[in-house]
Amino acid sequence: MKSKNKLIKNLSNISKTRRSFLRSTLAIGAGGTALSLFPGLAARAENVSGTIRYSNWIGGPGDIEMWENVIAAFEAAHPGTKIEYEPVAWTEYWTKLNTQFASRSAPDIIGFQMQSRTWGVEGRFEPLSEPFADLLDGIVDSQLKVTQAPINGGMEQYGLPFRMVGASLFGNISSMKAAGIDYPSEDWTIDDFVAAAKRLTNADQWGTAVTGGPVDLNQASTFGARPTTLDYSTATFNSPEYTEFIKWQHDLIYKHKVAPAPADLSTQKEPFSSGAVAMFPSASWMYPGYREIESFEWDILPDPIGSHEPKTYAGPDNLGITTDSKNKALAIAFLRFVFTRASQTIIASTGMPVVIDYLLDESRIAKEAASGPANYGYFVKGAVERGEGYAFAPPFFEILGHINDAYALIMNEESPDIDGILANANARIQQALDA
Amino acid sequence: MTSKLIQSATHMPPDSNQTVRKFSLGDITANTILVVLFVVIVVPFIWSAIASFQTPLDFVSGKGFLPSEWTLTNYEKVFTDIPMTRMIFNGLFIAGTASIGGVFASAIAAFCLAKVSFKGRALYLSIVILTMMIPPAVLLIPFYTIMYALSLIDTPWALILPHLTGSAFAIFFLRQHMLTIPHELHDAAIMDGCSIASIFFRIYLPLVKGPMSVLIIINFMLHWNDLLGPLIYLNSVEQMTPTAGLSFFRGQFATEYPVLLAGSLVCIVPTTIVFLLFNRQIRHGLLITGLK
Amino acid sequence: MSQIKSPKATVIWILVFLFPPTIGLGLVYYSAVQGLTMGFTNWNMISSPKWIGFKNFGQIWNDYRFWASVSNTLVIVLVTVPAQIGLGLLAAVLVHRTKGKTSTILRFVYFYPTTCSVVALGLMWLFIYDAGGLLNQGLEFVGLESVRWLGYGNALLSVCILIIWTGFGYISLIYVAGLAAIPEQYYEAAHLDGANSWQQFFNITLPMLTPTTFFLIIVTTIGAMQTFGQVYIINGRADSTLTIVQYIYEKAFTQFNMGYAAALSWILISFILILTVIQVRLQRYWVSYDI
Repeated sequence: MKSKNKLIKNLSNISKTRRSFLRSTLAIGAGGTALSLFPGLAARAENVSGTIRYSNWIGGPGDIEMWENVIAAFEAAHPGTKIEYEPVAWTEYWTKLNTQFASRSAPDIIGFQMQSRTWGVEGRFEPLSEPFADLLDGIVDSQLKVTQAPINGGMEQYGLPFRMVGASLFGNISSMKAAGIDYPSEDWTIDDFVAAAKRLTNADQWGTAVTGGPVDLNQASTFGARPTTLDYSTATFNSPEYTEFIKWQHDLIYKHKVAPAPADLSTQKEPFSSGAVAMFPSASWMYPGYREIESFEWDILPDPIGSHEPKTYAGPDNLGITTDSKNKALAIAFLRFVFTRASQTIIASTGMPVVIDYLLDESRIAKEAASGPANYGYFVKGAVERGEGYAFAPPFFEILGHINDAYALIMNEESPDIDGILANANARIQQALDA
Repeated sequence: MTSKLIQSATHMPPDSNQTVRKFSLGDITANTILVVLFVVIVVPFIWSAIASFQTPLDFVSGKGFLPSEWTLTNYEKVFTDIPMTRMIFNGLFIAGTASIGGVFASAIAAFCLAKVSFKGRALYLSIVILTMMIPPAVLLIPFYTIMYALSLIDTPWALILPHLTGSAFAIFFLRQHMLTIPHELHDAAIMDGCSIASIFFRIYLPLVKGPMSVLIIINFMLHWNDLLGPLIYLNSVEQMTPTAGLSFFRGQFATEYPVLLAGSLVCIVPTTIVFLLFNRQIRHGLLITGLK
Repeated sequence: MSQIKSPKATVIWILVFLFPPTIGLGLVYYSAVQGLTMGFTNWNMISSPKWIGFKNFGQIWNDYRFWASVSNTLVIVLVTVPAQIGLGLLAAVLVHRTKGKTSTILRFVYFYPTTCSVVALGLMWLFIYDAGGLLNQGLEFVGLESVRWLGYGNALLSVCILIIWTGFGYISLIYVAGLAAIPEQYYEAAHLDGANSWQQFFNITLPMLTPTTFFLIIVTTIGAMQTFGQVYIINGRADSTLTIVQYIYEKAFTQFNMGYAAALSWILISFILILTVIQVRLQRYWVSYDI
């Protein structure tokens, strides 16, 4: 409870920049239903009718069902409306979206990651600060920032996060027990981590694995390493900190021999659930898959501490209303519905909710922990208190591509030219940031 | 040795000497090559088919070749998680209409370009062939805009109509075939005062039936297997084709590989049936040449 | 070769016959001109395009990824085109001598991969090439070291193998048709003249197949220059399998730089055009339509 109150205080402080009258609607802790939390909703809901199109990419198993449930709930509460849901595979999502944008026929509501920084200003997204003013303070602030863009001297909200995803270190508890390793305390260090990995490595299993971005951000942060500066202006991929982190990872493979070269890991068989890797940096989007593991016990482990306190990779998946939309009233109504308790409950099953009181609700955390990971609370705390992500730089995909290319060149060779490869990749990341 | 191989390999007239001889070194080499190629093609399919009957658990942890437990779960998911039956009908309709219509249009054009002399014919042919060189990525957005203007988005016609105009490949292919057809036939027909339409329908169409069936098959497969087209032009799950529909099992981070594998095998079944049905016709069609 | 003359009455028929492809050509060229014009702009598909002349082309010249894609694409052309045509011809010649059921089954099986979607096949081969996949299991079984088929140095070769595996059956099918069309009398006459099998193969079979071979070289070269589906699924890291078309696709649809993508398309079209013109020019030296 203590940390929750502290958090809310922090959030209220941050949101002082917003128009002060909005703060009066902040009703966190009231524990009421969504309708009482956001009084505007009921009033607006009366007038909507017609049909809108809503398209999003498929994050993983469960996503399609999740949205079908949210839409069914919305349509039941708003007779005479229809939401046409158009799920698209990740690899083709942007192609399709761009084609539709170019012919001015984009769906009314679309999912996106960080594109609003440019698309909002270019006039592809409806501004949302005004119609969602009463909602904004109830949503995790760090996640809201991702979809804000500066315009006319102020900040405008061009999208809203509907869920958070984030990275953790996952542990095969059965293997750890067998190796006589206790569940680590929150102050264990990276040296403890390497020692544990050594004891977990045997003929059938690797102690850990080197993954590349973005889920290794937690580990990188304990070296004080980031691929770019916080304002995304400068590439720092070959900084002394990042170089040290990369060399540490390379040592895991070739010196300590506790991790496989990435090319020797299967690309189709997920390393953690297959039991091939005992301590694995992965992310919350794997929960639905990991919850089906029957052959061993698993949990989230605390992130080991290095020269710096670890951060938690956490980022939002967002929704925005396009300017191509022909039924904005219905689009707004549906988007508001996403932040009701009813929707957030459904969404929570495939990721974390973003409405603060529900996110930190202890009975919710207990419920998630019951289906695994047991230490779910540690992840929520990490994501909210020290969440960070370079996912929010506009050229995210390019940056990630350069990072993972460098990994492929470094981690699969016994003695690569680490400094040279990093310098090269850094120059390319800088180029992407400048463009 | 090699000369024997070639001898047995090339088209030989029936000859008592040749038919009596058995198991020459050349025969053995030739048969070995045929068997090796056969195995190389068949094994991956069999291996995938076996893998598609694995449980998800077997799939991630399985080390052996055979599943520890045979299951239909993956196939059930293919038909229950997405409306696969409906998608198969969509796919058959789109691929069938587009391939038959398109090849017919191509045959008529190919005839014009092979056997009718007119001014600008060579130029027209080069303009046709040039279209094969344009990367599809460039055409995607303008094409989409046209289909959108015609209100064809999210209907099968967005995928069918563009193909009914014939394809450069088919026109080129059929023209090459018509060029090799001896000209005595149409000389006679011209003498009889036939119009070019009746020359095409009475003489050339029957003669290129074989190549046309080959093309229809190939185009049917192309349309059936098209991934990007349906994903771009169709929006609703109910309108999707099977190949594109399977992408619903591909997540950004997590993909259900065993289900995807099972789905891919389901998608292969209709094309295999079509291929088997037409196989006889292709063989006969290809064997008929102008002088026989 | 005599042709149908075009008296007035047939002009109308020519117009009717060429009507559908002409509509198609109009559609393609209208779209191509619209799309390719963007090569001289900075269009990002959202804000209206601004004319920037040849600036994109200057950037491409200095773009290391472009040169990687060119080199990969050329490797694919140089490896897969001869291998597919050679293997296809060999298979066709060998299949042609088989009879009855065997012949039917062989033709069916060789052609079969062509009927499957590139996505399905790519997926299948992803399993085969995997670290613990079929190929490495086989290598381990016979006591050899496993290979990183999808590793940085090998991925391009693995893609080529997939392309050849998929494509040679189609080529052999076309060749089988070509072989069947060679009149038997030619061989009978040659046989009477005392020509041996080598001579028959080189003097009758190969020359009679030259129109087919020419067609196949043109089509497979253009296909290989536009390789996309295979590398879309089997994607080597650090641009080790990046092809030109894949780069165009990536620039256009994940980096939203349609102008740059269109400029890349200009370059690809020029490459293909040059290759095709060379092939067509060379045709007169080796292709014979009549014997």
